[in-house]
Amino acid sequence: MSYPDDLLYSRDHTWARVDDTIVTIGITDFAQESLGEILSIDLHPVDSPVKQGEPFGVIETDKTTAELISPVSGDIIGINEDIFDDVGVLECDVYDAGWLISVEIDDLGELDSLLDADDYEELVDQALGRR
Amino acid sequence: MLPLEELDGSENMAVDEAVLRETILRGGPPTLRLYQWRRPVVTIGYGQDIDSDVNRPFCLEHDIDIVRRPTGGKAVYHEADLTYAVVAAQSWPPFTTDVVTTYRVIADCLIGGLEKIGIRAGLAERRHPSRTDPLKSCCFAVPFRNELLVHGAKICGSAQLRAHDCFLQHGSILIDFDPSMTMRVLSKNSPDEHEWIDYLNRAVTSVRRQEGRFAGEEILARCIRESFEERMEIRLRPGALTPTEESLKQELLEGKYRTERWNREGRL
Repeated sequence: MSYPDDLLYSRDHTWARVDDTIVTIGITDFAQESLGEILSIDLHPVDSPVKQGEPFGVIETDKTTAELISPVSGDIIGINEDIFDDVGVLECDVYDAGWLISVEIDDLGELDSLLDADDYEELVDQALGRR
Repeated sequence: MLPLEELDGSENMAVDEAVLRETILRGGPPTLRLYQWRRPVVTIGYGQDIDSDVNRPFCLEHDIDIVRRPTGGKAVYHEADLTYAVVAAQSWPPFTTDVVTTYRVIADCLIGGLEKIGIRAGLAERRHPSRTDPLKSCCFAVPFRNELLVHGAKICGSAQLRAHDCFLQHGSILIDFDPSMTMRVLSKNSPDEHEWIDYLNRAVTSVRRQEGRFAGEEILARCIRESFEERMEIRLRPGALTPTEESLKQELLEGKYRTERWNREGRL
């Protein structure tokens, strides 16, 4: 599993790529591997508000259904429509082609509560019982 | 442990989700709930299409409610089943963040409960349904990995939702099973209807079919509770919904599980 250094991570296993006030969001390698074979994904529409710590969509896999939890608050300004045609992208390229939504963030201060790659890796290791 | 109760479909879903939401907010130990259905209802999985996966005209004509679950999976016709729900933090031992482990821990407890009434169940291997299968929307027609079988026939179907660091898993243990009614509720006019009813008769079983001297749902509920306690080495404390959970339940009933928008479209 990989955790790119240029991203921030939430405890709910989503990643955030920050570009000024635009934050692109997806699920991490750990989330994707834990959840199983992805069957479908449901995302809130463009222009809808999201809040840090609240769902912005739902993913259904062969093992479970899981809420996708936003790492930031703001308004959804973009959705990756490509994933609806091919959810397999989420399994082979979660950090790039597998992005889910982009958000115009309300409060850059919220980013302080997110984890860097090292801290996120530690979180995952704890979850897996490696620490 | 919440007391055994019989509610309508939307109430049962609202209670399950209220307990999940409260556990997410406040933490606390796992909750086990066993319940039944006041009247026949079809529950569909989060991502299912109500128009293609259920025979809506038949359900409307026979006054069978259709409620969308918060969990995934396929449609279940609830007429004679005992349903369990477990809500817990994902890493509350023996649960872990691994989804399969969660299914196995719970399956082990259910197997123990069924053993106490003389039924020996085991775990399923996955089968992939055919696209032309008129029962492809039916939970019990397709045994998935880690679900419960007795002599190769499915006796319990389960589904799960993971939210934040918690999960809700619920499932139905069939007390009785009517394949012909299930066929009518979940599919529309298949030319091979009799063939599919025969298939369901072989693929699905029930407590009454396996144990002719079945003593009733309350006994089974007690056996399941005891098995959870033994296998997880815990003591289940009898409880009730907290005031917050009651309030959440009402909000979820009015804002979600009794709305056309949720049940028909899967949107809030």
